[in-house]
Amino acid sequence: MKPRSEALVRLLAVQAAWTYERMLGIGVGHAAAPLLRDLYAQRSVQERRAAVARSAEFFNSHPYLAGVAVGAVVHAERNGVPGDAIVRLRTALSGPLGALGDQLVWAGEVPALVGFTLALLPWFGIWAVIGMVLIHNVLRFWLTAWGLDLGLREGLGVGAALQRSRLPVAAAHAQSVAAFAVGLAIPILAWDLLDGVAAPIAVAILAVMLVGSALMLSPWTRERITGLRVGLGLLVVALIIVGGLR
Amino acid sequence: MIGVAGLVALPLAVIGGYTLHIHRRRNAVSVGRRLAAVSAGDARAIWEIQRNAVVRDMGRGLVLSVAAVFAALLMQAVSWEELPHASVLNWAIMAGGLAAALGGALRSGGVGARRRWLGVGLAAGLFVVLWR
Repeated sequence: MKPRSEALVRLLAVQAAWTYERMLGIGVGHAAAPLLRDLYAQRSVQERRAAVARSAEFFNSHPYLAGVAVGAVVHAERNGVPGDAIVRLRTALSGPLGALGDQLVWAGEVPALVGFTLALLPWFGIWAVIGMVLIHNVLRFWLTAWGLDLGLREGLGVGAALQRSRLPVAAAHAQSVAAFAVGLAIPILAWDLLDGVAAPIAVAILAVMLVGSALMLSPWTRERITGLRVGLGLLVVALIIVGGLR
Repeated sequence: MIGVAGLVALPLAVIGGYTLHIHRRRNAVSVGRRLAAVSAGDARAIWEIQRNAVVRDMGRGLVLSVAAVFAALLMQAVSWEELPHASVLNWAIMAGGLAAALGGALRSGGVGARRRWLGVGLAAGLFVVLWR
């Protein structure tokens, strides 16, 4: 396998060795190793070891965009950039890559896909879910490969290249699309779930839904109340009712 | 029954989150054991940490999947139809799911354009429901 392909495959598991101390550091070091091995084949063992050690230090970014940093660092090592400048490059890339990835993927692409999938569920069933999983993984792979190539091409100028790319604009639009998709899904989902439920019960369910949402938004409770906790709480109440009324 | 599915899925989600935390702590122990080698730029030590982490995470996934299938089979053995108020479980999951979707959407919608798009989406969804 070519070093670039090997690095790309390794980037798919970049979060596997995530720790609270180094965050993505080990994963990034592991992904950069094939490219550094190739790079330092003609240089001294000490130079290679120093580069590998730098590549595995603390690093935090969005995992799908970690390839940008891997590529940029390898490019810088190739051009003989001093070690402390490479460390500064990693530090400088960390925040922007994290923020951009969070906007693009966690607040954009993922909720958008989930929203559209839920909206399509009444018509397409399991195929909507399979389609979502396929689309997400294709986009994830493409983004990682694009980021690695961008970093390998641009090196120290990767930050400016990232700003010039369509990614920041795509991130802003992705969040609007996500908001639309989730909004679209809620009435369709409610209609699909409540189909066949008696009218008074349906009204009660919608009322509980509104109370649960209000608790998730209220400044006094929003820190403690999440969707999962609302669901678990209601489940416990339901189990008490079912058990108590046997 | 969607309520019974929720009875398996929601606790499993909690366990999944907890075991992920454990997995990360184990990663930290693994890194700690090879700290000198990693700091010296030993690519093999980094590879070992990553390999062990992948294997551990695969094991975590396998155990969770087996537990989910086992729990689902166990739930199938219960005669839910004989319980007079078993539908309450369905209603709880429906209300909880919808509350999570609406609350989450409003939370992440923020202000400005995104909330407007959320409103447009809600209107479009209502239109689809009424049109059907």
